[in-house]
Amino acid sequence: MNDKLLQSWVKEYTKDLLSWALHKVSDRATAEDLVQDTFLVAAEKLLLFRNDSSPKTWLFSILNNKIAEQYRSKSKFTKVTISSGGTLNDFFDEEGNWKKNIVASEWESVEPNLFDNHAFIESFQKCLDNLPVEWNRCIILKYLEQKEATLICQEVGISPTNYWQIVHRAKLQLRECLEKNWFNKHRE
Amino acid sequence: MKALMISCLKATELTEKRLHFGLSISESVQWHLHTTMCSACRLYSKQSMIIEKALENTISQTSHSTRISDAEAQSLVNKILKK
Repeated sequence: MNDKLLQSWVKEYTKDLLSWALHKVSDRATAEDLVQDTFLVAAEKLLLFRNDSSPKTWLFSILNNKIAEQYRSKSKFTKVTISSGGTLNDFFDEEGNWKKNIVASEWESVEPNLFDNHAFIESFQKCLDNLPVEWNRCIILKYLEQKEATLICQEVGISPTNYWQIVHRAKLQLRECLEKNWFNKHRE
Repeated sequence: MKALMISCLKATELTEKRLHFGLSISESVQWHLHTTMCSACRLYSKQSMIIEKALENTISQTSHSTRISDAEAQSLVNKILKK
């Protein structure tokens, strides 16, 4: 019975799980491994599955843990540093004032449904991919598991000061990237 | 008074600290003072929140993902079922 249940889940959810995993790790073989691991864990923990959550939600939570593990093990090898990305000199002068050429403008076209817009998500994803790998990992880990920043710092082994400085620099870059590749093009 | 004045760099760093960890009282005073007067940093704060929302939505949602063909999915299904 349990085997049958699991088999039906494999048939039903493999595609969704795989596309999600691939989206997150962008490496085919790793993504497939993660999905296989997900079902292995599911088989072990099947007794713990309660019908009050849907199998899909449950499987995705296992998969997300696996993806997070993957990010975590990678970040152990590469030390996360602030200096791994572009410099602040691109944005601020020596006194810490905004550079004249950083003329940010209001983002008028932020509609409530912007975050469901596939074209926007694609642009945003590209901007995220352009961040230094270590920064990207720190940031993704936080939202993937929806954890407090303090916990992420412990996991990645950086100080809170480093964390908000990384987020700050990452956001400066994301902001510039979105400005160029999205908002500028969608201004009337 | 001079001690309360911070640069735009510092102010925008504090915007992120405020968001993720919270500020001490003196930092909070410095930040409010600066952002009240500085429209560029106010804009940063506003857009920082939009980016925050975008991160939450794109990273934690499972609905946006890479397209996989049925055949590709099926080959993995077979692989898993064999085990």
